Amino acid sequence: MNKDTLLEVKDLKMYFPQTTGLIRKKTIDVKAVDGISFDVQEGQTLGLVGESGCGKSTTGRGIMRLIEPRDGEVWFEGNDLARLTRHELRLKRREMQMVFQDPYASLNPRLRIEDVLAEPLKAHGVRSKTERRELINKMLDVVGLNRNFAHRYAHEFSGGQRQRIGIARALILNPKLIIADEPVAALDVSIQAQILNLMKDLQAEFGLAYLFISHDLSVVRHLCDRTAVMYLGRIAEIGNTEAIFNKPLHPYTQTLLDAIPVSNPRHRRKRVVLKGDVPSPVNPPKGCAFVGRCPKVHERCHEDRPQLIAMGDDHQVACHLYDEA
Amino acid sequence: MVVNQQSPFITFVRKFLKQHLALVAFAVLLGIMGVAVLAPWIAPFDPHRPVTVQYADHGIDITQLTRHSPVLEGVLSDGTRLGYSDLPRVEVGAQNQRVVNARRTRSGLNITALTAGHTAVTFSIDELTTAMDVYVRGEVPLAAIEPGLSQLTIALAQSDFAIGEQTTLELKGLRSDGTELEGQDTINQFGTEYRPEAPLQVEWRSLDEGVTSVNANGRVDFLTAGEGLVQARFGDVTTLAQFAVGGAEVAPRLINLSLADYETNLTDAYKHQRPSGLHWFGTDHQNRDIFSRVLHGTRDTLMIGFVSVAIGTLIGTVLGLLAGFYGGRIDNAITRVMDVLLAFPGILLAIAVIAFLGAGLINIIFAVAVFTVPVFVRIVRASTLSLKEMTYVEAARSIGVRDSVIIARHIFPGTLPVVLVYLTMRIGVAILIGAALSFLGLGGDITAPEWGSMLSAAKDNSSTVFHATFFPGLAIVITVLSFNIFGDGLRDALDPKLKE
Amino acid sequence: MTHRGTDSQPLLDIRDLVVKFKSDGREFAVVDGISFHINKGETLGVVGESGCGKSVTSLSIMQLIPTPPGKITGGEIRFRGDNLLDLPEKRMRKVRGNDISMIFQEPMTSLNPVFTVGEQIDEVLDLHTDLNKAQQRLRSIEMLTLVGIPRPEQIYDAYPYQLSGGMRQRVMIAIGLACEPQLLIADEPTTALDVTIQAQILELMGNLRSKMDTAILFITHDLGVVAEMCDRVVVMYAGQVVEEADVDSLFNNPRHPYTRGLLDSIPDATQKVERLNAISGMVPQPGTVERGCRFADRCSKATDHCFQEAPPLFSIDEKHISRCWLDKDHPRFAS
Repeated sequence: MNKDTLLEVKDLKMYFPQTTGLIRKKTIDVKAVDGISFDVQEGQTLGLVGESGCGKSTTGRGIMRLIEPRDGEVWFEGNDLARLTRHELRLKRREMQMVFQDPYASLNPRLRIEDVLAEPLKAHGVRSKTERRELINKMLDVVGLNRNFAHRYAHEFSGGQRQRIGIARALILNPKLIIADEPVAALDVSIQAQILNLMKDLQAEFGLAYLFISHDLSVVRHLCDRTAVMYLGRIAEIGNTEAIFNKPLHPYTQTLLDAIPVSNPRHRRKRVVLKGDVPSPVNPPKGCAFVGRCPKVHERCHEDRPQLIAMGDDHQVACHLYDEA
Repeated sequence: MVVNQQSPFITFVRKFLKQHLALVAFAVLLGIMGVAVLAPWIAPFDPHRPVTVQYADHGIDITQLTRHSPVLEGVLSDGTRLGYSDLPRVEVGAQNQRVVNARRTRSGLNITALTAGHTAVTFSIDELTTAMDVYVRGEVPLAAIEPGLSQLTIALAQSDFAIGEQTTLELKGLRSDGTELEGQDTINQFGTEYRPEAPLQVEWRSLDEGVTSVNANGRVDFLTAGEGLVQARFGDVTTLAQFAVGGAEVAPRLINLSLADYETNLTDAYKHQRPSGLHWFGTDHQNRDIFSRVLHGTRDTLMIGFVSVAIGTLIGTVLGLLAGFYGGRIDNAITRVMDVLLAFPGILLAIAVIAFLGAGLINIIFAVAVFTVPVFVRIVRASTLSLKEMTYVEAARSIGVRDSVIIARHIFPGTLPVVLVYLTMRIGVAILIGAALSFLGLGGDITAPEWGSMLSAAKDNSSTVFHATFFPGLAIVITVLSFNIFGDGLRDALDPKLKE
Repeated sequence: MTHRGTDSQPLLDIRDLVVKFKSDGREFAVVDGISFHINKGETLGVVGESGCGKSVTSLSIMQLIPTPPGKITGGEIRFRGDNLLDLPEKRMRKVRGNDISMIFQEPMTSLNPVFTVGEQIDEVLDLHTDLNKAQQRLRSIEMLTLVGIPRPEQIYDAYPYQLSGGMRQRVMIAIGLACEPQLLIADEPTTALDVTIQAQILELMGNLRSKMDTAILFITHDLGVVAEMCDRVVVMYAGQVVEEADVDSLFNNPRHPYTRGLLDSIPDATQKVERLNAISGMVPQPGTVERGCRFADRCSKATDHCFQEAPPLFSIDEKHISRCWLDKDHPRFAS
């Protein structure tokens, strides 16, 4: 797409086979991610937002190949990750790291912080112990932790500190892309702000690109250059963050934005509240996934699956409302 | 912010120290292990040989317990007493020859206990007989026995009588416990009480040739001149009375035999000795010291427990890790085999393995290991499955850490607590199964000091002999219980969900 | 319980509540002298970060503190004039679910998976009303309809696993409101839900509040939810009330630096800011601040005085109090 494109995802499909029936086993595919495409530029942040079950976390894991995708291509720095051997992929992971949602579960409680941080170094052949220690100390400085913490165990730290450790672990190999899966969702508001600021600072310092997976639109708006709104395994709307938040096109994006409680009682308003729940990905609607809840649904939506349509500079939407334009 | 600065290990130790019961169990186990190592040095007796042959080595003289040397004296009619060496040949006989062996030797008389029971031993010189009661203590307490009659004496005021004279002899009896029976009637009454089914009565007999005659009541008629000789008999016990009738010259003659003791208590020291200061746990049917055998048995027993469970755990953990981590076909293959093994009841599986391999300690260990493996495969696989889903495992994969490193660093340590807990518990089970196999005679050498075989050997006498089964059984119970309590304590200390 | 008080008397009045937890042989005051009240039909928001004691406070009202390690060691909780702490357990059981009911954060685990939805609503009615089986069923279905559950007759016989998270939370609300309690304690009722579902639940609670005239104690960490739902707000920090105000004053004229920090920490979906004004540092562990203001080491406006002496509550105006030396010119608050 662009010569600065770091990551390009093309028609990624992540299906989970589910067997049902006791005697005659039928395998149904749960289409967690059903053909999504996007790209991330160097040094840029793409926000992947959606409600639980929309497939945003699965997308992150599919890119990392922690879960094998069913179909599609993931191009990273000119290599199709799906075609790499296990060994090549292992080496490529140096460039592409992940930060997880739960800072309590993502650190092995039996390891000291220095062991946690040494692990990526060891896996990628940093043999010298002094070199490792130097890098670990540097990383602790970078994420704003005391160097003495290296000798302590993860369980001695608060959620915010752990998340800093998690970020340090992702950063220590000097990657180009960090896939952050809800990194602040489990944190308190005041700590969340600290981590968000840290992530911004690190991006500026190291020229990192983020794929920022979140359910929190406010956080996405704050951090991301571009945003992709996912609904039931598909992208409903993607484009420049400002464009999407200022002029949301997809009815889903509109209601999603509308649903956020505004922290100002003077702005209380009567909002359009969506009816119903997200349908099950086992048996998604034939046409537009949003069809059952959409306030602006018309007949076509039940039959045709809308494709992304460009609606201006870096703004695409998958909705039949905009087909004619 | 920083809650505490402790490594997981220290936290574990601190929590464990709070489990008082488990600490006690741990101390007991340490003691048991110490015993297993030190048994050859601390066991008082060789567990393989009867204690009786070892007493000499220990400087213990058991002759005073098992042997009695009666001191016999002869009484002449003139009142002089003759020592054993001056006496003619004494005939010694035991009424019940199974209980004691009574012998005459050059230096004296000997009664040696053979087995528990009671017998009378008689000493005879010609027409004279005295008797003593010998009690041999053994595994069972002896029933109360009436002391028998040991000696008869005839009190003679004078021994010179004229022809045609008459006298009635006064008879005195002495029972083995020292009570005296005055007069023939009293003695006869005792004879009725002593053996009501065939009452013993005093019998009189004249041993001379026509000099005297005696009736049933001990009345003597002096008929002709010469040496008169009358015998009184009660059962085996006899005595004599000598007379000079019609002024005849008579030489003094032996008229009575007396013993220093008429009663002696011996011990049967040749099997099933009861617990005593010398043998704390008693001795078994081959007179081996049970205490020493229990101590020596600790080693084999623990070896079965430790080695078999160690092998089982090792194999089980590796298989469980592989099955859990890789899943798919590997998992299927491993779990199916384990399901088959688990379908057998544990002991049956072990018996089948023994049947296949033959009896013996090594094979017992192997058999117990075989049935330990599936248990560990199951628990390790289950905890691997849950650990595999932990985000930190995913994080390690996303970093690019090798599978082997992930298993070794992130998964295996996580399974360790549950493995450790099961390990201790399984050692208890393994010891039980090992003992059961030995008990069934599948342990190869059934004479070996191993708790199961000890129980097996002692089981036939268990209705009468309490200690031979009790102490090995107690040893098994204490060991297994200690392992279980220790395992429980470990679990409580290792379980992260159980907060302090 | 009889209605003794007048209408001016608050429905629930908590005074100087102290709750201590024991850990490692030491006792910590997790709630350290909290006072606030809720009037009839009012919605009070209690805001604070994890560990500030807001959930412990709500559990104390229901007397559901796990004992040990927790223990209410001081203060009183007056409900319609009666001190709940003096009530025997038997009478307290009558209060729970009937006069005061509670809904929890986790809609997935608050319902028992082996009973149908209907059975679980019936259970509450069975405990607190004289309704017979048929009446219970009718009332349960009525409640399900009230909380906006489609096809309530069918859902009555459904098991919790057949329902989505939002539906379950609706069922929880139906159970909570079945006996028309005077007070509903909602402990982070929407935290586990998606934004669109959260909007549904908030709308539902707002409607029900006006229909049933139930007072709501709304415990949350989300200031946006507070702004939408509450009439008055109590901000808690490290076991204390640091600010209390009506919702408009709190958001437009926050006094306590912590409240301001919290408001500044939230990214805004309606406008873009380059950098968030995060509060530095972390919430102190209970029992670690020995003197001075508990917020002092995180406060950008802290003076030496703040480290020396713990601030009392100052009355900014009739309805607004703040625990900060910055407001020392205002009169001290006397409860």
